Amino acid sequence: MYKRFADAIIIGGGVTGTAITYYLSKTGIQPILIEESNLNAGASGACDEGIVLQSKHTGIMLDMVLKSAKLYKTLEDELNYPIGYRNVGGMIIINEEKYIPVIETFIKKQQQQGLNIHMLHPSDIHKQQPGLSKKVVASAFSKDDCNVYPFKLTLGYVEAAKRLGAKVLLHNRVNNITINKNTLGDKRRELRITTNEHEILTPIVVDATGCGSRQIGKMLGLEIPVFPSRGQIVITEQIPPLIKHQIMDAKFIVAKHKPQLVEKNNALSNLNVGLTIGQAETGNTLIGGCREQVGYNTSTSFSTIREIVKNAADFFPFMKDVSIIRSFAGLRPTTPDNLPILSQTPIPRFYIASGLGGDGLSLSPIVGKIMADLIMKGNCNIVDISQLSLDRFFNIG
Amino acid sequence: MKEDYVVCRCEEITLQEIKSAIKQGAITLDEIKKYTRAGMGLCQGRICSTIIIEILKEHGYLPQYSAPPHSRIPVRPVKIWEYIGEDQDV
Repeated sequence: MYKRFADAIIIGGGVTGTAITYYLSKTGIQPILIEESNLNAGASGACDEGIVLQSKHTGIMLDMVLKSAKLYKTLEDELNYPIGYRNVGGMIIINEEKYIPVIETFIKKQQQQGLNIHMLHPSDIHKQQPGLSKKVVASAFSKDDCNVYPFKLTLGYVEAAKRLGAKVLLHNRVNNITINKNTLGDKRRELRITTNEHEILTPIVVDATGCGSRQIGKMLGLEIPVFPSRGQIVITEQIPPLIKHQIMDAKFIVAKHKPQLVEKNNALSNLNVGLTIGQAETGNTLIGGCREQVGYNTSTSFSTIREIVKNAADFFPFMKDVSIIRSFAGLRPTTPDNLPILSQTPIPRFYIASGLGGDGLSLSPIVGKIMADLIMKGNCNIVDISQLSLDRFFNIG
Repeated sequence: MKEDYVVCRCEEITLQEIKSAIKQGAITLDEIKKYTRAGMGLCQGRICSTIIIEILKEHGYLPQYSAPPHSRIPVRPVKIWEYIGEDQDV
């Protein structure tokens, strides 16, 4: 067992934990990132590449993603690493007349908050995205939506953080976190983390383990309400660049605002399947998505995959002749109110950055920045994170 | 083997790239895949996984670390129209 000290410890090597490690390193401290297996082992390695602004609700989520998108624009240069950032633009496609007013109202509010988005003229829809089914009767378009390659993003953060003095311990499982009583009056020894290889004393711990947060919290007697919600994704063979934009089915948004408009009695709605599709730089297309409450099970199922690809072929008839080569599933860390937890906790200097649902990739740089501010300055001026605090779940009455 | 030997033919990943991923901390098939894309192509690692396991062994990572990544749908590439069980319009 190696004994060592750290300025701060971040647990979790996904797009959230590595971002926090990088932004903390930039403040001048030298944190250690601890990861149970390897980078992108969880939800960050089982997602698509979309940074979608126009699916976000107005308020704090849109506020954060707008600021995140701004950071992404220069991130590749800043990290000096090819993270696969591409400003592809995005469409929310509508195949039912009755959804149009809901989306129009939704994007009007987003425009007021500063999002660059508009409804396409019906005659422009199929020029904007050739290959779309004629069933698509309307579409919103935002040129701000973009793509990033998650596997390179985490490596980019990690390499940049290492140059600033950060350390990364892969294949280290956190077995225990305790409050160290024997600090000899030294704050730097207040928290003790024990992994299968190391014992580390540190003043600051950040939990960025996504669906692992409940378990990490329990080590310190904290109840952290983050639950897994499974999203299955299908990958196709590499095809010529045909899907120009990051595309989402309006049903996702309508289901949130006017659930009564969405059919509830077919197989699709029961699985919460709504099309998301984007094409990676490699030519592979990534098709989603769904949300299923199946605990910590990350396998994929024949029936859900079938609904997903059927949906894709419905919206893009040419996709019928494309082969699928793999499916995978990721557990989106979800909270009871679907907002993230970016927060202090009752344990001094034990922080949580979790519960990002399907938005971990979209929000990665801004979450890193917010947490670095919260940790180093004690508050955050970037956005009002009081609504994202852990204690919102425990304030009764 | 030469450093520019192509280990994963689908994604054109060389021995050098595999070795550099091992250096960065990837020690299983699945981790090598995430670091390099080896095994993400059309054949889904059917060709390169045995070679990568050998390279891992050479670096001291025994096969028990290299339990194959999850087996998932589809077993081999399948057209979407076949998967959804629809007759193809000719």
